Amino acid sequence: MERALKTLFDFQKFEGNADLQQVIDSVHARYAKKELSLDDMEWVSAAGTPDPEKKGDQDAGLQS
Amino acid sequence: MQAFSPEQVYTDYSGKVMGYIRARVRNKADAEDLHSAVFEKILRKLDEFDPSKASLNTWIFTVTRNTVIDYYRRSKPTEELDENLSDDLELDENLLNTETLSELAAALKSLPQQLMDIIVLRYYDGKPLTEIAQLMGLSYGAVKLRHQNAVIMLREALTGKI
Repeated sequence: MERALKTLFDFQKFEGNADLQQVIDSVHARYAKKELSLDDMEWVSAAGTPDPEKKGDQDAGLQS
Repeated sequence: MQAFSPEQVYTDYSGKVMGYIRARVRNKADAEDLHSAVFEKILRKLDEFDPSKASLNTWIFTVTRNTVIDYYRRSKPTEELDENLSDDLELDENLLNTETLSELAAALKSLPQQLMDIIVLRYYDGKPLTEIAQLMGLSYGAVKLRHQNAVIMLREALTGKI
């Protein structure tokens, strides 16, 4: 069962089934405040402080 | 004669392939390279694809998944492969379809919320139970027990479906 669950959730990353995504999003919403997402972590400097300048540069790059 | 046009396959599956790769590979340049590599394989083998053996969707998913596995083996040979990315699909390929995912969604909704959360955090996000315990403010023992109960309840809810 556990292997089947791993495969199905992996397949969801490809398929993006709306019903299952709704469940996943609802779970993530409950824990979003309790952890920094990996995307947020990308903007944290080695000292552990946010590096908004770096993010600003990247955002500007994305807009171009 | 080829049943699928390469242009149509690219149009229909480019987004899905990139979505999967981006969920697995954080480096954008690597992800784009992998996307190209996947379509190179797909378009090269499209003539040989046999729809009686698997759906096009499942075949493209398998090619994409294997390409990501190869990438990790090549770029990080000393690191253990993500446990959700084992070599073999641990399920009958016929069950890899959107209906099965909807069945799983319905089964998850039938669980108590905490158990549903544990399953999603464990199997979608790949978090270890220790980290889930921290997130939920519970002891490791409590999460381990609830995880076992959640798997049992899911198995019952999905009996005959997967």
